[in-house]
Amino acid sequence: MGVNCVPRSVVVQRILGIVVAAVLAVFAMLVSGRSPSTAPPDPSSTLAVTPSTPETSTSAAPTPTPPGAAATTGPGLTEPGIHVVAQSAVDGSLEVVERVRVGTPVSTLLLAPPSPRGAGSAGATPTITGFQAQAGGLLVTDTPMSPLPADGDRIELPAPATDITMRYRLEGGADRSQPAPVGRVLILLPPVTRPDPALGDPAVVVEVIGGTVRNLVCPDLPVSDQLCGRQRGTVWSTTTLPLSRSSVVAQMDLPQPGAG
Amino acid sequence: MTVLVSVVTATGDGQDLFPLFTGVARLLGYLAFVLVIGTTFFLAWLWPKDSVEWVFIRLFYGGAALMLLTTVLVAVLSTSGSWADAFVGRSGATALARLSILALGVGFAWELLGDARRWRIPILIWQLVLIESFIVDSDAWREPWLVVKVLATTGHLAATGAWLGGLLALAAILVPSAHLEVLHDVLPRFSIIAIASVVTLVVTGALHALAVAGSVTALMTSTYGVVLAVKVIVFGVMLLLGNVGRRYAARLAHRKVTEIDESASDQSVRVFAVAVGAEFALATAVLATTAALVHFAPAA
Repeated sequence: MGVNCVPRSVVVQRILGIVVAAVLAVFAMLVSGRSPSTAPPDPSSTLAVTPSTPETSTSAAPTPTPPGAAATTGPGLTEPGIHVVAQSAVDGSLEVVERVRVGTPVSTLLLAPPSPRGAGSAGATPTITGFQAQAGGLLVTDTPMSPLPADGDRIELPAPATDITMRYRLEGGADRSQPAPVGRVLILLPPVTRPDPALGDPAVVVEVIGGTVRNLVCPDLPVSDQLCGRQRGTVWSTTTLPLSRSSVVAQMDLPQPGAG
Repeated sequence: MTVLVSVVTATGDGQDLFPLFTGVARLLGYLAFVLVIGTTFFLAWLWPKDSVEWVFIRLFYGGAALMLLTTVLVAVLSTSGSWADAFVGRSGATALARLSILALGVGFAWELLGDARRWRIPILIWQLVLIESFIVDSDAWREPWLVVKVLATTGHLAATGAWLGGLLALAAILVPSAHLEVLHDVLPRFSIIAIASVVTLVVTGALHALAVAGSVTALMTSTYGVVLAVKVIVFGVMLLLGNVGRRYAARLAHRKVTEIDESASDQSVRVFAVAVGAEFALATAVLATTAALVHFAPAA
């Protein structure tokens, strides 16, 4: 097979190879900047539990979150920390997606229900149901004890992971205010992740969607910082909290039964 | 291909079987990698003749076809059967880039196969770029220790391709007992390549595993570590059986194993072929555990 007597079929094969390679290379460059059609974190979407590693390391500066949408950057999403999105239902339960992102892989996670804090929420007895989790792309088969004890239960991850996504329903966390306008409640908000030596005390941001939030209170913070809610469109979020002081109580009016 | 993906999608829906199918596709992808990289490496550095045997051409084209199929399958299955998302983002771009590099290789198969010794450096660059197309979309391409993991994985894949590809090419000569005279040139060279590959695999494998797991403790206590241990055990058995087989063949041939050629007895050549074949079969098991490791690798 010398180069000097190359058959025509070989020349055609070369040209075809170059053309196909060039077309594929152009397509590769075109699609590299595009994102899959996966929706951003949204408790009403099952896609929210997809543990896709955000492609932020290669993307440009964080874009501002549009009003009414859950954050796409910040602790638990693009940097170490915990990000919680909770959507309230008509019965006062919360559908929650909790994302934990850490710098050093962890192999267990300590979970505990949010504990009642302050006046008005003492009657709440939060429990977790429908717990699902993925860690580093793997399904977590270990589930927390039911009911989850107040001092917590530790779940084992299938492999050390830096990205853990949990989805669950938090029930019994709402305490109807008396006397109060119809539908007004105080609700204990997650996270259910608890600090431990492996996890440290990461930053936490809690976002609430659904119903009409009146305000968010962080009773573990100094008095001057306890009104910790910030409104952005229909989404309320807390300031960045340390996990060890991440108790959050929302005062809100629950959605009307039958309302879309 | 669409039909195949549809069947897999239909079976996978509701049964969470996508990870299994993706793992199988990944295993076949590794075999394709060995066929493509191994055959071209063998022809460029070990094959002593000017003419190329048809069996190597078939191995290369078979590997290229399998790589095309498995690259598309892994991309589609990883997005739960969604063609719209399969070739989007970094994973999709990497898959397309790999197919582009593959197309270039198939286009220049004349030089790649028939004139490999003269085109060693371009072939080496082409092989390295193809290897990187596997690495960019792997757990190696993440901080921390990105550079260490990329270098380790590049060495690991290159050694895998050279060693297993060499074994396959040897089997292709030994099984039909054709052109045994080339063994006189091939075996001493392959022996050096095999030793260098095993050392490289052990060193780079250990480095990569530590970097991916994060610490020795995490490696020892995770599912990833267990699967890695299985891989190491199969790898050890492969080395042991390969060694036993080669020594037996050498005893039958009354000479060193690297000196077996057309003048050796038929029985010793057959035993040597069986030993090489068994070694490659166990290598497939190692590749299967590697496919499983991808599933259990902790995300960075």
